[in-house]
Amino acid sequence: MTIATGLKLNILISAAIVVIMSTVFAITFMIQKKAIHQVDFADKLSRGVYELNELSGYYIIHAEERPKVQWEIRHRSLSALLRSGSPKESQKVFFLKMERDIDEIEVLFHELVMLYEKDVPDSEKNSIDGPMLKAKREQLADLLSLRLRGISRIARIITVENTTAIEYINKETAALFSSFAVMVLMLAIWFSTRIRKSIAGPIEKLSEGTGIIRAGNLDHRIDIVEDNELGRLSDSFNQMTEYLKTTTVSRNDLIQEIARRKEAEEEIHRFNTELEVLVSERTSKLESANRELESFSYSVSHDLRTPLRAIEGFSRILEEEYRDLIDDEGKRIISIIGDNTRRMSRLIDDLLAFARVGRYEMSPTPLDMESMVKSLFNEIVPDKEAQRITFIVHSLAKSHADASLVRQVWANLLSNAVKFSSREDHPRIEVGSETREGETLYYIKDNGIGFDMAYVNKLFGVFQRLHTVDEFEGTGVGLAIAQRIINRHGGRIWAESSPGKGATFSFTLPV
Amino acid sequence: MYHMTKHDCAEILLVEDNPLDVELTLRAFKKNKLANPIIVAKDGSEALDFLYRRGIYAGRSCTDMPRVILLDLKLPKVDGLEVLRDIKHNERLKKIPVVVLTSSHEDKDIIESYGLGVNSYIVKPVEFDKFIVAIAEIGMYWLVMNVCPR
Repeated sequence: MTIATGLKLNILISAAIVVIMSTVFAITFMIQKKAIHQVDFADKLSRGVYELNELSGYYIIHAEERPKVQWEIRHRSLSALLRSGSPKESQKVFFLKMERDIDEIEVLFHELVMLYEKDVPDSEKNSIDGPMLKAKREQLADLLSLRLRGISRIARIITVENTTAIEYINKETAALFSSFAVMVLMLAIWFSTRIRKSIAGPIEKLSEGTGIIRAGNLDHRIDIVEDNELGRLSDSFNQMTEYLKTTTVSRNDLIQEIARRKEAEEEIHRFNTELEVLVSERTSKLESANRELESFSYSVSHDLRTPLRAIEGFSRILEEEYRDLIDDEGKRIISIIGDNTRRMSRLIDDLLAFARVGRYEMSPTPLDMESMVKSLFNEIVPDKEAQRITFIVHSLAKSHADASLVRQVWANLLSNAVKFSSREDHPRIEVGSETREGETLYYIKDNGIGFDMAYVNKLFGVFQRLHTVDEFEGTGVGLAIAQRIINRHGGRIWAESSPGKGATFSFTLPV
Repeated sequence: MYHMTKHDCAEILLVEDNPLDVELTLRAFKKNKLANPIIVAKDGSEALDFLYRRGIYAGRSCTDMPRVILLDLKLPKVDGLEVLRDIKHNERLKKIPVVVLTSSHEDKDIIESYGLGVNSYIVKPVEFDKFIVAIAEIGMYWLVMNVCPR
């Protein structure tokens, strides 16, 4: 039941109680009024009967005109009073008797009056007729008195009856009002209990819940199961809290996210600053290392060659100008000096070339690899050697790289291929390319002596050689230079071989 | 060390600090039968003194300029590039052909030398035979074939 319905019901019940009580009050009032009226009526009746009795007595004694007239007036009014009475059904018999009696009283009184007014001579008064008359009068007076007493008795009965009724009504009304009072009290208690249960309690819960939620606990729910406005209010309140929680949670998430991002941003900024410092430190270290390396290679370039030239030059002068004084062993020793000086010179040149590759500023241009490889072969390989070699160049993919550096790579790989296949009866060198995703692969394959894959890691190291100088000429810098150049272009270089089966050198260049 | 008075009017000015290199160069000239008078300056400062006829060369009578200057780059006191700069910034001297004759073929040196207006850049070969050939070719070219303003 809703609170509105309860309140309406309450008003209706109150109104009904008021109406019932008013009606009961009105009815009892009317009944009582009627009873009082009847008591009053009976009272008047008794008094009238008493006066008539008195007047009759007076008239009998005095036989005067005035009591007679008074009697008649009284009788008329008494008769009128009796006839104006509104008897109850139970009283009608009494009233009829009283009406009969009152009429009879009038007749009796008139007979009595006649007896007194009849002109009887004084003599006669003491005659025989005298005592008779007297007896007649007494008889009439007795009858009259009897009748009057009868009416008086009935009046007393009415009085007693109505007085009892009034008392009864008063008692009943009091009882009725008492029970109504008890009922109203119980109703009031029931209603206030209901209100306390269904309104005050939930309102307290709501107020308490509001406080909890305001304090920040958005998980709190108000537990009101009443099927009324407050129940619905609490449902709405819970929904609102849920919504508030969702928005608060998402808002909190957002705030946290913003804080996280800000933190991350600051961290990135910090890292950047640190990185910048680190980069500038490294750069300056690198620059100074580069400068040192440059001055080192400059010195090597200038100063290492001069004594070599002197050794070579003077040993040649010795050989030429003192030929006659030196025996064959001496000449062999001089030639060893010469060979090693030249070798030393080449080592220096290669080392400097290797150092130069790192410092060299690249300028990539479109490259026609096929014509580059072909012209290099003709350039590097002596004609006599070239005739022996089966040189196959497949259609090579064009590239975009630094021309002089890539040329250096091809030169090194080609001369290696020629060198290591020179002992074959039918040397064969094959050059080709493959276009892959994001890069182009170039390879050069020979049928030379090859190498053991166990040493493949040493192949591209500076001054690393897999063969003795007696077997094959070389300083062991060529492949290191090639690798350095390919790495600088962002490519890879590797070799595959097995002893006696030739070698394949491959490198990639990004497209 | 100015004593080669007969070379007052040297046709070749060799600027070289290493006496062994000087000897090898002179031998190479001799071997190639190039008898043009040579004066050797053992550093940049001496070379400039000779050209400007100052210092130990203050009394030099010959006003003729050398026909070619062979200039090493790595020199004590004033280095080769400074000598080159001085020569090429002097109206009178800049007509003299300057050939850098050095051990190094550092890109930096080559670029700078040409930037200063060098006439030729030769890297001295380590091998004696090649060295002899190089000197012969230099002599042939600059002293015989080349024509200079007088």
